[in-house]
Amino acid sequence: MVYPISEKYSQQKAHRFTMYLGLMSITMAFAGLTSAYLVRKGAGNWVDFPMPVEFYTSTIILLISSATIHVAHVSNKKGHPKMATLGLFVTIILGLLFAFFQFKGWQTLNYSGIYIDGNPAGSFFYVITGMHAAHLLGGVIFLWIALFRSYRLFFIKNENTTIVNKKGNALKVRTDLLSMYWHFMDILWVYIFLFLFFNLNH
Amino acid sequence: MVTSSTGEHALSMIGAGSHHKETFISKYIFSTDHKMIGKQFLYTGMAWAVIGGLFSVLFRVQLAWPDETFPFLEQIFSNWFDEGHMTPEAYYALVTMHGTIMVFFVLTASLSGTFANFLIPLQIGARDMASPIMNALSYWLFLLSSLIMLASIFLPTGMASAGWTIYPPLSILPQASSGSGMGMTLWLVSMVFFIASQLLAGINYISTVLNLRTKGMTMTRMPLTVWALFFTAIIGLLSFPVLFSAAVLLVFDKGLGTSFYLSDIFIGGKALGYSGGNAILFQHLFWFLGHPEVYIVVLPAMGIVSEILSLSARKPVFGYKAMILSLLGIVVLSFLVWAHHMFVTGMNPFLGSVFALFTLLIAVPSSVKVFNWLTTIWKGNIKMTVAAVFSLGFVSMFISGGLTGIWLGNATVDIQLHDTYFVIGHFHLVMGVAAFFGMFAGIYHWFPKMFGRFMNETLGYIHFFITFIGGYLIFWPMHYLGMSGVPRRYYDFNEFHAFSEYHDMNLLISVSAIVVFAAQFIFVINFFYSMKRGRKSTELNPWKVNTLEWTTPIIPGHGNWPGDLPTVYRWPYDYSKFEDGPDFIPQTVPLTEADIESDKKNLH
Repeated sequence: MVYPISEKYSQQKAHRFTMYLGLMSITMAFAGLTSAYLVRKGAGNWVDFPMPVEFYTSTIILLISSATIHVAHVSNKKGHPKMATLGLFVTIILGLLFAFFQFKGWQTLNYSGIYIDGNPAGSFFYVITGMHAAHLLGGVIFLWIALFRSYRLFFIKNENTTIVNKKGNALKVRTDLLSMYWHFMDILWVYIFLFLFFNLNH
Repeated sequence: MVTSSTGEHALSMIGAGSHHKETFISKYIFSTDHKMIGKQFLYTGMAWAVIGGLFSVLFRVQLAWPDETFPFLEQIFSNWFDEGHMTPEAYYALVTMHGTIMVFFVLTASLSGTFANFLIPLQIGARDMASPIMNALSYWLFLLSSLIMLASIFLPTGMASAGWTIYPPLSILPQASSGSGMGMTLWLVSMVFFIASQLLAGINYISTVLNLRTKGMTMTRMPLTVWALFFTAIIGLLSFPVLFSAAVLLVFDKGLGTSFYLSDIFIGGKALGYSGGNAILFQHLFWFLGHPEVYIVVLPAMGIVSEILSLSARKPVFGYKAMILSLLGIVVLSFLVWAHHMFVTGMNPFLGSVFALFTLLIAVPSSVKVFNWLTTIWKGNIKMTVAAVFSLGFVSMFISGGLTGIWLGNATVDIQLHDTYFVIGHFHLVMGVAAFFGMFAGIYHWFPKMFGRFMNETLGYIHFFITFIGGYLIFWPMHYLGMSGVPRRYYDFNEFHAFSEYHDMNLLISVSAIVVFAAQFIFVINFFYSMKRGRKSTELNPWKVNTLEWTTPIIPGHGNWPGDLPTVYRWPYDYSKFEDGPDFIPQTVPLTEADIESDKKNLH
C-alpha cells in the first residue's frame, strides 16, 4: 500500500517543527543555569575574574561558522553540491577550532587560579560554557554525517548529476535542520558570552 | 537531525511497511509503531508499579509493627533487615525509591508514555508519530534509565535514600547516609537518561499534534484526551530541562567537588572543602520542575476521565472550551507556584504571599474542571462500565485531595502542616490515587483497541471497590495524623510519647495498604488473562464512541488505517444530539442540515 505524497510533506514539516521544540528545551536548560547563576551571585561571596582572551577569538570563529553553514545550506538548496560540501567541511573545521579555543580559555583560567571546584563564580563559568561546548560538539557529529553523505552522493557515485532512486525521487542531503541547529548554537553562545561578560566585569 | 529524505525512506516511515515481513524482534522489541511503543511503556510501568507498591508495603509494615521481628522478610530482603528489624537506612531508602518510582517511572513516563503514544496518532488521524525513530529511542532511553535504577536497588551500600526530592547536602555527602554514595550516583545517572527520554517523547507528541492532524481535524475538534496529553508534553518540555540543569550541578558537586549547593560543612569537627554554596538554590531549581511535574502526572488522567465520563453519560462534555482553557490556565499557573513547597525555607514573607496567591488561583481552573465533570454526568443516561466507575473514582479522589490543597497553599497554614502526614495524605489523594484511577480507567476502556479483547468486568469491579475504599482508608486518616503534627519520614513513632498514641491509626493504614496492594494483583491477573483469553471484541466500535480510533480495524496494523486517512467533520462529543436520532455520531459523519441548525442554537 502506497500512501499519498501529501502525507510525506506533512512529515517533513513536522521534522522542522520538532527541531524548534528541541531548541526550546535546550533554551530552558540554559535559562535554568543562568538564572541559578544570578540567584547564587546575589547571595554574595563571589570572586570576580576577567573573561579569558581566547573566548573573544572563539566568538568570532563561531560567528564566521554560522555564515559558512548558511552558504552550505543555500548552495545545497540551489543544487550546487560542490559548494555545499565545501561549506560543510569549513563549518566542521571552524566548529572544532571553536572547541579548541574554548579549551585554551579554560586552561588560561586554570593557570590564573580559577578552578572548577573553587568559588561558584568559576564553577558556573566552567559548567555553562562546558555544556554549550558539549551541545556544539554534538552538532559537529551531525555535520560529519551530512558531509559524508554529501561527499558520497555527489563525488563518488555520480558527479554533478542528480541521482534518482527507484521511485523517481531525487536524492538529496537535508541541511535545513542542521543549519537551524548550528545557528541556534551560535545565538546561544552569543547570549552566554554577553551574559558572562556583563556579569564578570561589573 | 539530518535525514536524507529519499523517497523510499519517507515512504517506509509513513507506514507502507506493512508489506515486509515482521519477525518477533522487529514487531515486539525494536518496533517503531506508536501502538507497540505505548504497550512497551505500559508493561514497563506495570513492573515498576509493582516494585514501588511493594516498597510502600514494606515501610508500612515497619510503621505498623515497629517492635515485631520479621525473619521471613529478612530472608527475602537480607540487605535491608537486621535481626528481623528493618534498618533505618533501608527505611529511608525505601521511602525515597517509592517516591521516585511512582512519580517518575510510573505516573510520568508510563502514564503519558502509554496513552500519548497509543492515543495521539489514533485520535487525530495520523499514521504514526512525527518521528517514529525518536519515539522508539525515547522508550529505549526510558528502559535504560529503568535498568540503571533497578541495578541501584541491589547495591550492597543501599539505594538512594535522600528522599525523592534529593535535597543537598543529604544527597551529596556519602558521610550523611550510606545511600548517598553509589546509590545516589546511579539515581542521578538514571535520571539524566530519564529526562532525555521524556524530552524526546514530549517533543514528538507536541509536533505530532500540531502537524499531523488529519483533514478536518481542527484544534477545537480534538478529543480532550489529546488536549490534555498535548499540554502535558508542553509542561514537560519546559520543566524537565531545568531539572536536568539542577542535576548536572548536583553531579558536579558530587563528583568534582564544586560548591554549587554546599556551603561550609563540618563533619566530626573537620571542615569539608566546600564553601559558598546555597542549598536553597537546589530547592528552587528542583521545584521549578517538581511542581509542574504533579500536573504532568494528573493532566493525562484528567483528559482520559473527561472523555470517558462524556461517553459513559451519553452526553456531550460540558464546557468543552472551558475544559481546554482551564487546562491552559493550569499549565501557565503551574510554573508560577513552585515556591509553595518552600514556605519554611525562610523566604521573604512578601514573596511567600505572592506564591500563595498564585497557588490559590490554581484552584479556579481545577474547580472549573470538577464542575464540568459533574455537569457532564448530571442527568446523563449513565452506562456503568469499569472505566466509568474508575473515572468517577478519579473525580472523588481529586475533590477530596484538591480541597486540602487549598489549606496547604496558604503560607500560614503550611508552616504548621509542612512535612507532616497531612501533606502525604493530600498529594497521594490528588495526584497519586487519582492519577492511578485515570490510568486504570484508560486501560479498561482502550483494552479492546490494544488487544482486541475485553477485560473481565466482575474482576474489574472488585478491583475498583477494594482500591477505592482502601485508598480512602489509607490516606484519609493521614490528614488527622498530620493535623496532630505527626511528621513524615519518621522510622519509628513508638520512640516518641506524643506520637505513639496514634499507633492504632498507623495499624489501620498499614493493613489497608497491604490489602490494596494485594488487590492490584487482581488487575494484573485480569490484564494478562484477558490479553490471551478475554472475550473477543467483534465489533469495530464496542463502546459506541465518536472518536477516530474506533474507525480503525479492531486491531490496527502499522499505519493504522488500511486505506486513506479519515476525514473529520464534527467535534467528538455529539452524543444524544437529536432526540429521535442516533445515540452517537462519529466524527467522520458529514454534517447535515439538522446539525447546522442545532449547532446554531447551542454553541458549544
